[in-house]
Amino acid sequence: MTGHLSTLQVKQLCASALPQPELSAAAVHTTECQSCNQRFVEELRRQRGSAPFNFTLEPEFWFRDDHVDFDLLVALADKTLDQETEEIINLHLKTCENCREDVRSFLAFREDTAGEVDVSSGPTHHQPTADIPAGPWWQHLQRKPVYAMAAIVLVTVAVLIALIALNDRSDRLEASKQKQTTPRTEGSPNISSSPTPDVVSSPSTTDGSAKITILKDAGGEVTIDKNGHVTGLDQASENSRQYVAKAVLSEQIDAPEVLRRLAGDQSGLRGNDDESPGFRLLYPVRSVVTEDKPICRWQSLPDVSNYRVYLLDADGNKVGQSEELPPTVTQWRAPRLRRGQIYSWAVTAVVDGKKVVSPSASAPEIKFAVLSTADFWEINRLKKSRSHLALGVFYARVGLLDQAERELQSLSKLNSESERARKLLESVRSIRKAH
Amino acid sequence: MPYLAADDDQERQQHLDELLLLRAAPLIRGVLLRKLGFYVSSQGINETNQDSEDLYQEAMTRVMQGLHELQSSTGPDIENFELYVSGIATNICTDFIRRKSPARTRLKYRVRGVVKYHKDLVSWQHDGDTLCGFALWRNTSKNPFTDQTFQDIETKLDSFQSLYFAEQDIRVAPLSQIVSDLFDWLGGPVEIDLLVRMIAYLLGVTDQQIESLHDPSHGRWDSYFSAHTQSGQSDLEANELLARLWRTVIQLPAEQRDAFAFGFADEAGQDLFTLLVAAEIVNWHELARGMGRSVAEVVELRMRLPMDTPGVASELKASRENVYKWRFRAIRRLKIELGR
Repeated sequence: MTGHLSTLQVKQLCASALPQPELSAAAVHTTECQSCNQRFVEELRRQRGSAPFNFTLEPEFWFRDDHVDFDLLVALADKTLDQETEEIINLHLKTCENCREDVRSFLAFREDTAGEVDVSSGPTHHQPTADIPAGPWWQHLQRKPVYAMAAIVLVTVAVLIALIALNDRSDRLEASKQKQTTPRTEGSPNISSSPTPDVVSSPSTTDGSAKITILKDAGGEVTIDKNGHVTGLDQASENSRQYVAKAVLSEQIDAPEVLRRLAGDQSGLRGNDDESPGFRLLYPVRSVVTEDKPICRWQSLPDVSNYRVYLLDADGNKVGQSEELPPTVTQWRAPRLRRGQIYSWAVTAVVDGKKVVSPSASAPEIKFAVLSTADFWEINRLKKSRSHLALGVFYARVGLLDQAERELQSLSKLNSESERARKLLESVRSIRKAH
Repeated sequence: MPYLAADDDQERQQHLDELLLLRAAPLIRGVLLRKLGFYVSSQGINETNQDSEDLYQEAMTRVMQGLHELQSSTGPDIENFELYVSGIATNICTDFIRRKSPARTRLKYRVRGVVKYHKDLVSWQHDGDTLCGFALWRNTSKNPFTDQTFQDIETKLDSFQSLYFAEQDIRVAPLSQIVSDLFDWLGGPVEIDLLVRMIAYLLGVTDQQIESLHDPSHGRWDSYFSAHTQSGQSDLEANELLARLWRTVIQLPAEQRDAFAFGFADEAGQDLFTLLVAAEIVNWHELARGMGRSVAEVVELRMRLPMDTPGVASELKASRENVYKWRFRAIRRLKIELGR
């Protein structure tokens, strides 16, 4: 640049608003040209105005904009930061309330979910969880083929032992089943609600029949006449109205068949539950579950080195198994199960190299049923009706006793004078007690 | 305003450019820095923070629209151009804060945490998007389902909820369960931001409106400066202080020097190079020598000063943690050297 800078160029140099080559040339020119440098400096000062020159060396200020992002949250949670970086992060946290809350919230989340994230899950239509590759442990072995081979051999042996143990148990269970006198009603394992009950009902038939019961409900009044005609439950299916009529007229709810089938096969071969050593399975245990991927939970066992969960269908065929789970994990999400079926499950724990199975071979099987699709949708429909009566009766019918008791308790509160409402509640409670 | 009095289009355009580049741009940069801690260069660039570039451009566009409307006599008068520009920039910052609600951000961190820590879930980059899903889906492309409008997705999410959470209150369900059930329902990978939006909808996580346009952190740092400042009472003292600072900075190891100098801003938001040149403590050649660079390099660098930490890290080709450490060590050394 040979000529002097124009006024506009000086302003543009101050604001760094010139194209890059011109900017450098203009800057160099100011170092060589006293007059242009003076104009440049004056323009810089004019743009700055009368603001005093203040600065701080307080580190809190210097790190005020260095907010904690996801990577740092992870590093804090995993304790992978060195001391100096952690000190610097803490300087920022001293002045940034938002980040403090982010860190607190994330650390609490990590603590709360430490076990949860070890629960296996995967797409329903894919292979069982145990076959899903790419876990860090597995990747590690892939890089070390010798260890991998050793691990495969060990895992295979462990699986064989577990299967032998389970098969042995299944054989004995099968033998005991054959000895039982009660005929098995599980020709089909389907546990869907039974066909239409033998009480006639119609949402619209109110032609002069004597009304024997009027119950207050969350969605309004429900009336049942002596012929079993139900009004006030128009959103319920015909079957549900018939169940309601039958229950109200008979003032009782029958124990659902499915609960009997879940009771477990008890025989002399298995001995007593109390004698079984080890640990207990907590959920699901002889109950109906609404979710088709239930999370199986069990008691922890001291000094255990690992757990493995096995899931069997009603015929004793294995339908799923977990991978080897560490001692800190006492839950496992089952793969998606077919609705309307009965399953049993067991957990093996390795303690001091010995395998402990729960339930023990002498204890009854731990079964559960997955609510059928039809019943699942009917419950959703009944929920829209907001009827404690219809929901309570239906829940009890399909074996969901906790939910049934809750609904009938609400019904009983709304109808504190009604003997029928009270008896229905007692009926469910007695089924629970017997179960 | 010469812009309004200009006789022809060419002259008017020249005045408009001047107004935008020389007066509006520095103000907008200052507001972004003070309100959000966002650093943008004098060219409106921050390669490590797309949000800051977007906000800068949005503010410039709004200022330009206001000036056009004023010139065509359809817009309101602008009594004070500086206040007008600062008002626009402040409102844009406030809207940005509203959009970035803390509740939504924390939900995003937790969802990312589930995907990171869950042994069967993964995230990966695909065509510039961050996708996530079951480990089995790794490196596959996203599910076409997610190309719908979010309004359509919302309708379908209601079905998802009634199907998967009919018997359970989704608001108390474990987040890992919600995430894996959503993946199961979707049947293919999804962008992580969309996943967060879907979960926010399902859980009813909404943005909390902030009460006022006032930035609560602003007043706090004002008082902080008055309590902890290094200042010169007179121009002479100020220049002496700045000269001592410069002499000490150039004694630091190169990484510490750069990490400090590139991130430096005085109370008014002015960068170190501009302050040094304006106070005639150095000329461009001396500045270049002190920073171990050519004049062209320091002139180019000054366009981007002050820089945020990711910007410094990118410039020095270092990790963010290293920049933290270099700056931290530089500050400790300077405090000792400057007797503070």
